[in-house]
Amino acid sequence: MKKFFLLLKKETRNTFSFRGNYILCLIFYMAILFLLPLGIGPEKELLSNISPGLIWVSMILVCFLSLENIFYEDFNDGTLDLYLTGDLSLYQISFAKSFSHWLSNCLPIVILTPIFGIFVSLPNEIIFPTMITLFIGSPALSFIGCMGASMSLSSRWHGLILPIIILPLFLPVLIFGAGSLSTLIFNGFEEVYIRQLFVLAGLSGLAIVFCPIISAYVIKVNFE
Amino acid sequence: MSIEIHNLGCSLSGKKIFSNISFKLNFGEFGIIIGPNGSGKTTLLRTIAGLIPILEGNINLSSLRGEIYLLGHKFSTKYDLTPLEDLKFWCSYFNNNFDEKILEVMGLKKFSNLECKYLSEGQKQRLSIARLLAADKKIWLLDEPTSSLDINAIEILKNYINKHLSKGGMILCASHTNFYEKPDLIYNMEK
Repeated sequence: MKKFFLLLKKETRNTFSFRGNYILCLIFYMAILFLLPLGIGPEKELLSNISPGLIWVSMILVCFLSLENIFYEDFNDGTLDLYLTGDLSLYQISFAKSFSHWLSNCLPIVILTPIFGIFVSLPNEIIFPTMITLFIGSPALSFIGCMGASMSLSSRWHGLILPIIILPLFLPVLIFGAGSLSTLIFNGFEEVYIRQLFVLAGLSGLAIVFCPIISAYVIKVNFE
Repeated sequence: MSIEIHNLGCSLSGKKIFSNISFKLNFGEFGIIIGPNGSGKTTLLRTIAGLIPILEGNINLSSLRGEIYLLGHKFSTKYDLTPLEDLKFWCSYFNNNFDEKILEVMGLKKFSNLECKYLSEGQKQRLSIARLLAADKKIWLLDEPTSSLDINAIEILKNYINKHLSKGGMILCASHTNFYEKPDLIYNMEK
């Protein structure tokens, strides 16, 4: 377990450091949220109604950007070999990388939602529910994304193949994540919102449990 | 104590790389694997390290799995880490105390706070060897350890090899060059 936490600390610290790419991801996220209203139009009511969807889609696009090299670099430069000869299992490596991706790429977006929400006129009463859905649903994006990154490992066009693999798997998360907030905005049905939150939590739970197992198997096949 | 390999065979992507490999190497001995390019020297070392599954035969190593360190072709350096940060991490990972003297011995002390992207290939290989020393494992599997190294660095490596063997360690090396004068075992993959 010590090696697992050491790896988690290293991965998270590297991404959060000045040299890490989490700043680029935040800038990319801000850029999308800045550009979308310019493309859609200035009507505040329209933007408010679709703001949860815009935020969720932007987060998915940020995941595409940040997941590409999560295993690729370590696989190609021999670091994965060193991790494995040091008794860390592929499952632990996959889990640590997925969790550190969530900590360093998704969690900052969740925390900064009140600020980013201004760009897309997110209604004030929806800010906290948006943070909750992002907090509950974003682990699914990280863990599914890392699984997809492991599947595209040995491909020359891994950066292009990754979105193709993970996009269908992101759809349920997007539907329930953005859909639960739309339910609140249009209908004010809190019960429906909470039920959809449970579904989102279930999707994240399944992703957290099963995706590292699949990633580990796929990386092992890539070694062979 | 020894490593014994019996009729070992391995395949990658469905293609047989080698078969019927058999030899024995005792602790305190230095073995060298020679052979032409593509004969499977690297694959043999990676199979012994447990990174590639065995297709046929066996290796009597199970209790010693945690004592293996594989020095591969690739440097395993991260562009944005310094040698100091790199070595500190791997010392913690392999449960050893960090000793800055290793960087000094490998001639990397004055580069210890320079990001690895600025190091030459030879300096990266020196860092890989520093990592090997920091890991302090009993069994060294070395894949072309002298590549990119200058004469001075090769002498430092040879000194550490002698120290490792005198402390009862075991070394199995794949190399094209005859950098170690008296190997206890020479295995030719071409056979």
